[in-house]
Amino acid sequence: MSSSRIITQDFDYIKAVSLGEALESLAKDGARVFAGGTDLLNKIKTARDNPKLLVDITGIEELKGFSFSEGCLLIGAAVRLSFLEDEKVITERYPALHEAIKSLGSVQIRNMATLAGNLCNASPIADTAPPLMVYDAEVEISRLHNTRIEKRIISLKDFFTGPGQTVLQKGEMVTGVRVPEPMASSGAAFGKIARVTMDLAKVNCAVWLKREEAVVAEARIAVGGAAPVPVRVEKVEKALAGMRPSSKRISQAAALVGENLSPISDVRSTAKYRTDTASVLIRDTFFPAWKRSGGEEITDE
Amino acid sequence: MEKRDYHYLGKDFPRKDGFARVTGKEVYPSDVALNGMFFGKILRSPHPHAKIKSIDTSEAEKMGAVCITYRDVPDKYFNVRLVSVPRSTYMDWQILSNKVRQVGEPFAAVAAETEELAQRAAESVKVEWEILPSYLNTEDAMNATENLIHDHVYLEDEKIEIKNNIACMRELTEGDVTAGFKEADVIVENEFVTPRVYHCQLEPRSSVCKPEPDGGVTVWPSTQALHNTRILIGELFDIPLNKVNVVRVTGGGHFGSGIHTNRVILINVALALKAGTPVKIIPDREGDIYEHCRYPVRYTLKVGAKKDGTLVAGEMKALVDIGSHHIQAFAFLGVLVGWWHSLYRCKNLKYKGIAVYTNKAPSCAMQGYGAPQVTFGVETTMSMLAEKLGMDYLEFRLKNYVGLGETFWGQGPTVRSTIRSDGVEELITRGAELIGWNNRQPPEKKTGRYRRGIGMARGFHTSGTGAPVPGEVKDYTTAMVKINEDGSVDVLTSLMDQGGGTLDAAAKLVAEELGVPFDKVGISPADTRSTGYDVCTHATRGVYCGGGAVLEVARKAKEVLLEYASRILEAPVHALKTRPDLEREQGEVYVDGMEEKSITIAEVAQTAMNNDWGTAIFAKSHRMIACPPAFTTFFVEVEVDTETGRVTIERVVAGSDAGVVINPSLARGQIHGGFYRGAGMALLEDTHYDEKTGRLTNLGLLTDYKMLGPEDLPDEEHFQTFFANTYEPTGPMGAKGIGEAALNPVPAAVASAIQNATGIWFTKLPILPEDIVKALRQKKEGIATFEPEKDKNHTIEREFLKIRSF
Ligand SMILES: Cc1cc2nc3c(=O)[nH]c(=O)nc-3n(C[C@H](O)[C@H](O)[C@H](O)COP(=O)(O)OP(=O)(O)OC[C@H]3O[C@@H](n4cnc5c(N)ncnc54)[C@H](O)[C@@H]3O)c2cc1C
Repeated sequence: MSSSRIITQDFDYIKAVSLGEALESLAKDGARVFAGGTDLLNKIKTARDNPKLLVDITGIEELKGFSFSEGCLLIGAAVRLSFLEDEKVITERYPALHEAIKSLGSVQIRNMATLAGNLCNASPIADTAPPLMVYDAEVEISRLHNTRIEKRIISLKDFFTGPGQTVLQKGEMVTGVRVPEPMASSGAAFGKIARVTMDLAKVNCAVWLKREEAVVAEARIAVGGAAPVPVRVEKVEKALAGMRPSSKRISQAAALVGENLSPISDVRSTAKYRTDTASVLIRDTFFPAWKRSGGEEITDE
Repeated sequence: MEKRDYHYLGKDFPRKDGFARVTGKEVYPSDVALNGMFFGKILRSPHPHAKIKSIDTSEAEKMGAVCITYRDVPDKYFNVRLVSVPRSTYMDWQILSNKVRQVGEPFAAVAAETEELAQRAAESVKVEWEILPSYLNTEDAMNATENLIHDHVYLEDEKIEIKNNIACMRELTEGDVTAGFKEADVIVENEFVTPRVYHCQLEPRSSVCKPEPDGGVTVWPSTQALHNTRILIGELFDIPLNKVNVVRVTGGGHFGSGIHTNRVILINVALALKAGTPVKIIPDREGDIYEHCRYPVRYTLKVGAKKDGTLVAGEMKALVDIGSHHIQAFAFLGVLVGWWHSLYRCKNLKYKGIAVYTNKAPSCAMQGYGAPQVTFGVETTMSMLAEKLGMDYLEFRLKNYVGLGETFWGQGPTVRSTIRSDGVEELITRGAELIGWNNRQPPEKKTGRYRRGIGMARGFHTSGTGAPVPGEVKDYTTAMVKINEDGSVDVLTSLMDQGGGTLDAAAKLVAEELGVPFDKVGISPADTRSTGYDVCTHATRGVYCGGGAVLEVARKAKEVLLEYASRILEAPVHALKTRPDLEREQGEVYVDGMEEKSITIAEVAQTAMNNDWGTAIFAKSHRMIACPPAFTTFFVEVEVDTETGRVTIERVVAGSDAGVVINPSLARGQIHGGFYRGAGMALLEDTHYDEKTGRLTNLGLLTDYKMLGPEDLPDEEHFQTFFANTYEPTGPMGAKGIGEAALNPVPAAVASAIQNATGIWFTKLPILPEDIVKALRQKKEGIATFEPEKDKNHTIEREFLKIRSF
């Protein structure tokens, strides 16, 4: 019998001041990273998690980094979404990420939540996952080896292993997210279908396009909410590559999405609806992405 | 009597409690804090239907907690709702029982020094359960012959055996339906389904109770019904009522869930009495969500009309899934037919309603009390009939609606009065103009992915449950008005304000009547020891009945005042008038026609005091002898995305006939609020149970109980409201009600707009995007009514056949 008013589980809490301290604590049994807590506290309140130690990382200076240099955007694990949401670099260069962040929760939630937290929570409907996947983001993972901090970098598309599961091992944490600068003549956009405006997605998606003249040279499309993890939908990507877009051809390509999905029916929607609307959503998101890549207006021909 | 110029009525003033509310200083039940106060926690059943084999609270007691189980509470049956008279109030409740009838049903409670300790203590209680078969839908419930949810219930002293989990039934026949249908040129018949909406009031139903040294209790509850709560507590705990004090605390939202005395309050009293110290309970959301919900209704409605649009016959069969307990199902079955009867004139009617127990949260009143459910089907049917007859919706409605001089059923068959004010035509005509009804295109003309549609529906709610002859429902209010020695006024009444400004309206009526400045009229804090009975604020009765009583008392207090004044001014009482003197910030009494002969009310009151004449004061109970309908009409424009099924509300035109409008801004606020919950009911809000576990599929969490947000509703510019120019002759200074009327036609209006956009009539609420996409697919195959999914074995007809034998 749990209660959303009172947490009766016993756990320790530390507010780490350095990455080393945080990693040392994370090596302990039952330790969890505590970033914004907007997912973690809900899990504890509803007894879906039972941590022994919360390691608060929001006071660690080196995790508050935010930079854009040498063709790479770097976002530290302690950076709050409200800081990112109107950051010029993101609105201008990574509009799909900007749109995803804006659509996530409310002002209050974004004032607490972190980008790394959204990824590490590994929900199939994490809103920032699809844009980061199509921007080819990488995740920086750190751990302590003896007393030395070791880092490894993995591609976000290999990060999720199942609902609520990632490649993170005991003692590891994500210290930052790296996003390469989008190439010239590329464009991306984010789309989401939910029950109401402020809501978790039934399905979400991001479309990234590289344009050559009037043709799609390459497409990257990620869909959330329609498989155990956010997925790249290769069937659609392949069908779009080399295409001179028209409404009809985009629809035909988007309709292939079902072959890459395995949605379920739950309290938010049905499997059938998710598959059907995923293709609509991809099509709708294609247009702004194409426009942002510098493409001419698409006609019905 | 007719409309006149008012000083305060129809004008906006900052509301009296506004400052406290917006600065966070208002005290709600969960803010009440007392010395030595313990915190209480309620233990709730994890099973839908089970018996307690054993319960062990020893761990909790070791931790210092006070525990109660069914052994520690009075073993009495009762009903939590005391609005109806005893002969129509079924009793199946116990404060705690050794049997649980739904997931989330309270079976024990603990209190401890801190909320945390209380929670830990609650978690330490061990229970052995005997699991019983559970019934999560009406079909399973009605098929059951043993392990019933209730074996018997009580009606006054009579013990009633329950069969097939049927809680109660109600029938009504007028005229000859068979003959009526023979006359019909067209007949429309559909099955309608409405959702199990959760009230989702901001504050979970909280309560604080202090045991008093004299053996009594003081209670600060979340309730709409102070005196009924007092009476129930007195009766159950054998405490004389002069020792039961229930204090009025501002509610953090009710929507009907506080008409009955929530069990939290009774558990709170039991805990505090056992603990011997004050106890406070604030339920968590996942507990509150199992306590109450709107009545879901599944019904067939068949209506026949002649070529000229005259309605000739109608038949309704309704099945109501009431959940684990009877809150007011018998009354509810009565209003279902009552609202239908009062919407459109039809001389041949047949109705049968059945209320069935299931192992789910008990359903109860929620804004509209059955009217949104019934109006949805009736309005949809009227539009379908009009279409079949080639008549305009508006023309068809104007021809058939029940209006001026006809009989209105304000609360089922036993509460009736004659309609004396009727703004329906004005609402329809003006609303049509504002929305551009004449330019409305039929669905066939609409193409493309995004389709706009304009729809409409009308309805009403009663203003209270008064009537010339008393019926099944109690209805009166008691008030006291006292003119202070400085000319200010105290109004004392147990009337509750649900947030809509009822008490402000009462103060305005008093200011208007006495002729004192509005800010000189104060609403006194109230509790049940210092006030007389008021049935409760429900049935849109606050302004009409409550305000009516306060006004009546103010008139009597004024008579006393004028009598004193006549001694001073040496003029007969009938020559005296009052008016506010805004410069002196005083009310004054003057001689009609000789206005230089005047005196302030303060001077009158002081002279009366100094001469030992007494205080100008009066107290009295007052019952309104009518239940006038407060009419509303909604025109709604939506846009439907035919590919995702998403519905966007683009524009609303809402007209209300509230009689003389007392608080214009607050009345508009009521319309916006009503629309908001009505649209939520149309498009979104519902609760479902997992048939295996008996739990809510949203697990009681708001993450998955979605409601529309401001971003999902049209802005002010696209939401027009207007009021009909009417005067209710029986009302306080011409006023009627508004609150529930502001919701009742909304689901029907939204469904009508969706039909105009898509060509599909949806007969099940909520209309989800998933349904729209599916229906549009089916329509390509030629089906234009999207019916609730039917289990072949599970039709209303079959279920009605089963109970022929009763
Ligand atoms: C009302 C509400 C609305 C919401 N709406 C949305 C929405 O629209 N879209 C959406 O996608 N989400 C939504 N969320 C979920 C949540 O806000 C986001 O997922 C958020 O980004 C989580 O970040 P956080 O910093 O709060 O994570 P936390 O709750 O602190 O952590 C989440 C999980 O990740 C782990 N973790 C966090 N940081 C790290 C790290 N650096 N390394 C390793 N593990 C880590 C934690 O241990 C925990 O298991 C909503 C939540 C609420 C309460």
